[in-house]
Amino acid sequence: MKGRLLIVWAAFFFVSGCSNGGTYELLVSNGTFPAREAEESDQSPYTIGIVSKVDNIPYFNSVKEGVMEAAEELKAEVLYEGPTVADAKGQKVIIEKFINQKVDVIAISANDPLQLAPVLKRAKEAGIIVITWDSDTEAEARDLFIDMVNPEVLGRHVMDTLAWNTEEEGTFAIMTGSFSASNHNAWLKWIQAQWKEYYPNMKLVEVVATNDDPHNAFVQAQQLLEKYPDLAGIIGNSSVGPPAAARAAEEAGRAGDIAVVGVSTPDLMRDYLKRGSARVVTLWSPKKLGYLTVAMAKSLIEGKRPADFQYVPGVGTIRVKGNDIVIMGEPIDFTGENVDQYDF
Amino acid sequence: MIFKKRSFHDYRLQTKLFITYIAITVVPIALLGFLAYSQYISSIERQVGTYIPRLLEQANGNIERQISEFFQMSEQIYNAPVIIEILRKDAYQTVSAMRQDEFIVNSYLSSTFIHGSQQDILGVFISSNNRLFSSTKTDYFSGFSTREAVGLYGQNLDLRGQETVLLPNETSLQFEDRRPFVLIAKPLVDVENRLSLGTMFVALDLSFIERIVRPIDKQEEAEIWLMTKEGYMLYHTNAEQIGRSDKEIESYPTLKGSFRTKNMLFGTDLSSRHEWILTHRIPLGSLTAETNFVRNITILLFVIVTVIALIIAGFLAWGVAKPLQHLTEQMKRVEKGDFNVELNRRSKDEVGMLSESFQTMIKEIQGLIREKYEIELKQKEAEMYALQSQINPHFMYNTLETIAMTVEEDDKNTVVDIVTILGRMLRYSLSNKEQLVAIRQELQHIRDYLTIQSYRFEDELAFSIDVQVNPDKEYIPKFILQPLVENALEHAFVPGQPLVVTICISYAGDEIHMKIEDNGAGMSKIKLLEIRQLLTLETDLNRDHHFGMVNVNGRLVLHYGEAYTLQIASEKSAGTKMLVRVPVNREGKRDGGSTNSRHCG
Repeated sequence: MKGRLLIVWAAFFFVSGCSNGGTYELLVSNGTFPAREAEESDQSPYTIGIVSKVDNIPYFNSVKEGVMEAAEELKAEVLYEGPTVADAKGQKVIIEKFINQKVDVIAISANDPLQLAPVLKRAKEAGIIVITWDSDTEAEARDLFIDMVNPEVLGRHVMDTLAWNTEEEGTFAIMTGSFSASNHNAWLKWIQAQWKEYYPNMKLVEVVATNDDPHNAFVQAQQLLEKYPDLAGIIGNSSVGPPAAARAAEEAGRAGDIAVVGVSTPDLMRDYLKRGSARVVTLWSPKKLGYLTVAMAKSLIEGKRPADFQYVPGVGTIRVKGNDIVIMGEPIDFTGENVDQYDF
Repeated sequence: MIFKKRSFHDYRLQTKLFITYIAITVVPIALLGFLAYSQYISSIERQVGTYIPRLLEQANGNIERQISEFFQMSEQIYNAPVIIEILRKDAYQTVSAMRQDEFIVNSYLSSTFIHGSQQDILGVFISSNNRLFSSTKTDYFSGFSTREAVGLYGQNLDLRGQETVLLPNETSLQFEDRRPFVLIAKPLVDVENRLSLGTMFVALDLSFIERIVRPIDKQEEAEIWLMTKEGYMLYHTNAEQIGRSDKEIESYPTLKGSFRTKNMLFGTDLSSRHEWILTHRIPLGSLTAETNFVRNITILLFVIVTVIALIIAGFLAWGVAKPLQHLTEQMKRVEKGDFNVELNRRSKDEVGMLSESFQTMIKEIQGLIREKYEIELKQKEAEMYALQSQINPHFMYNTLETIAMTVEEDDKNTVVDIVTILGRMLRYSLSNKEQLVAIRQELQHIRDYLTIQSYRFEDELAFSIDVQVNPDKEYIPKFILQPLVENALEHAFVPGQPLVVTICISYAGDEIHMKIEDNGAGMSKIKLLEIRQLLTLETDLNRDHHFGMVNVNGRLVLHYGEAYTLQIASEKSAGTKMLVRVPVNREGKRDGGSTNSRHCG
C-alpha cells in the first residue's frame, strides 16, 4: 500500500511539472553585440581641392579659415588654392593641377562660368566630383552649387538697405565684382529689379566692375565721386567694393553724405561702419561657407546628397533648391553697433 | 529487471490488474498532459521573447529620437540674435551690464524652454565665458558655488564639439526634490565666427522615457529600466531603483534579445547611438497566469478523474479477483472434507460459470457419497432383519413345551419327529450366511415350522404348499416367508375354527409370486390401511407390532427396489392374503416346462 501511494505522489509531481531551470537561458537573440563602429582613421582617404576666386583677399582668407577648421574636424585632406588675379585663366591652371593630382572633389568659386565649364567637365569625366561655391558655373559642369544666400533675397535686401539710408531718393552707383562672375550678376539683377519695382525716385547712374581688386576698386570709387558730385549712395556688390567706396568718400570729405552699402566683410568695414562712412553691409559668414563646402564635399564622396532643411553640424539648417543648389542661410547685416561681434 | 518481472508475476491478480490499469491510462494521460503543457508554456515564452525585444527596439529608437529632438530644440537659441550677441561678449565694464545681460538671457531661457511647449524640461543652463545663465522649474543644487559650477560645466568640460548626454552620476547637479533627470549637453558654436560660445545644458525629466516605455507593458509585475552598458540605471519603472546599478548586466547572455531565468523573462535592446540598454523583466508566472489557472484546473480534474478511475479499477480488479478468491477458499474447504459450501454467484460470466460447475460437481460428489453410504447402511439393516427373522424364542419355548407334553403322552415317535425337525430348522438358521437361498430350502424350512406347529395345534391348523416353480433354480431371500407364516399363526386364529394356511408359489411373467393365505380372523379396513401405510412409510416405528410384515417388506425393497413391496389384502373374518413378488432369477435358470405354469388359485 505504501509503494502505491509513492507512485501516486511521483505521478502527481510529474504531472504538475516541477522543473528546475539554469540561470539565464537564452531565448531569442537579435544579432550579437553591435561592435562600436571603428573610429575613422586619421588619414583621410579623400582629397578635396578647393579653388577660390582670388588669393589673399580677406573674404577668401576667411573662407579658408572655415575650410581648414572643417578639414580638421571632419578629417578630410584639403588643398586650398586661388589665383593671384581673379580670372578664369588662373583658376583653370589650378583645376588642371588638381585633376592631375587625382583629387576626389574640386570645389570652386568660379570667376567665369563659361570659360571654366570645359575644364570642369573634363574633371567630371575624370571621375572627380565638382562643386561650385560662392559663384556658380554652368549647371552641366558641376554636381552641386553651394550658394551662401538666395541671390534674390540678397539683391533685393541690399537695394532696400540703400533706400533706407537715402530716404528712397537720389542717384546711386553700383560697384560690382566682375561682369563675368555669375553670383555678382545674379545679385546685380535682383538689385535692379528691386530698384525698378519699389524706388521710382532713385536713379542708377552707373555700374562699374572692380575685378575684386582693392586698388582698382578704390580708383573706380574715386572716379565715381568725381563724376557724380550729387551721388547719394554707392552699392558695393562684391566684398572689395564697400571699403573702397567708404575710403574714397572719406578722402573726398563726403563721408556721411554718401550712403555706402553692399556686400562685404565686417573686418574690412569695421572702422568705416563705426565712423559712419558706411551705413550697412550685408554678408554671410565666409568661414561658415568654407566649412559647409568641405562638409558637402565629404558627404558627396560618401554618396549622400544634401536634403532640404537638412541639419549640418556646425552650420545649421540648409535649404536645397532644385536638386543641385544648396543655400547656406540668411544674410547678416552689419552695422556700427553689431560689427564687433563678428570676426571675419 | 528479471527479478522485477518475476516479482510482478508473483503479485496477486488484483494488484496486477490495478497496476496494468494505471500503466495504460493514468500514466499516458499524465505524460501527454505534461508534454502539452510544457510545450505550450515554452511557446508562450518564445512568442513573448520575440515580440518584447521588438517593442523595446522601437521604444529605444523613440527615446533616441526624442533626445535628438531635444538637441535640435536647443538650437532655437541660434534664432535669437540678441542672446547670441550676449554670448559672444567676453568682458564687461560694469557689474550692472553683466547683470542686465544675465537677466535678458535668463528670461529668454525661461520663456522659450521652461514655459515653452516642452514639459519635460526641468531646467536650462548655459555656461559661456565664465558666466552661467540658468532657468529651472525647481531649485537646484549644483554641488558647488555658482562660480565653480560654471567651471564645472563650462570650459573645463571638453565636449570636443560633440553633443553628449550626461547622467546624474556624471554631474553633481541635484534638483531640490531629487527628481531623476538626464542632462543633455550641447556645445554652442558661433557658426558665423567659427568660435565656441559655451555649452548649453538641458535637464530633462525622465517622464519622456516613461511615456515611451509605459505602453510596452502595462502589467504591474512588469519592470522596465534603461541602463548604460555599465549597468547604471538612469530610468526604472520602479522609481526607487533609479540611480542604482544592475550588477547582473555582465552575465546577461544578450543585450539585444530575450532570455529567461528560472522564473523571470528578460527582454533587452541596445540602442545604437547612446548604447543604452532598455530592459524589460516580467515574472514567468504572470505571463502564464491564465495558463496556470487552466493547468491547476486540469490537474484538479485529472486527480479527480484518476481517483474515480482508480476506484473503478479497484472495483473491477476486486470484482474479478474476489470470486476467484472465494472459489479458492471454498475449494480448500471441500478439500478438507467440508461439502457444505455455498457459492452464491449469480453472474453469468466465466467466473460465474466456473463456480456453478464447481457447485454441480460438489453436489454430485455429495450425492454419490450419500448413495454409497446409504446402500451400505441398508445392507447392514437387511442383515439385521435376517438375523431378527431367525427362530423366534417363543416358538422354541412352545415347541419344547409341545415336546414335553408329547413325552408325557409317551409318544416317542412324535418326539423324535419334532426334535428332528427342530434340529433341521436350527441348522437352517445357523447353516449358511448367504442372503439368497433356493426356494426348496426356504419351503422346507416353512414346512418344518408348520409341521411343528401342527403337532402343537393338532386339528386346529392345516396347511398346504403348492410350488409351481423350479424350487432348486429360483432363489429368494432367506427367511422371507417365515415371518409372514408366523404372523398368520399369531393373528389369524379364530377360536373354534381350524386355520388353513395356503402357500402358493408361481410364475407371473418375469416375477415369482408367493402367496400366503389364511382363512383366519382377517383385519378391519382401518387396520389394513394402517398396515399398508406402515409399509410405505418405511419407518421403524412399532417394531414389535406387525414386525414380520415390516421386516419382510423392508428386505424386499432393499433387495429388489421400491416396485417389490409386500402386498396385503384382508377382510374381517374372511382371512388375509399376502403376496410376495420377486423377480425371476437373472441367470435364467427357469425350467422350460414351467412356462405353462398354473397360477395359484
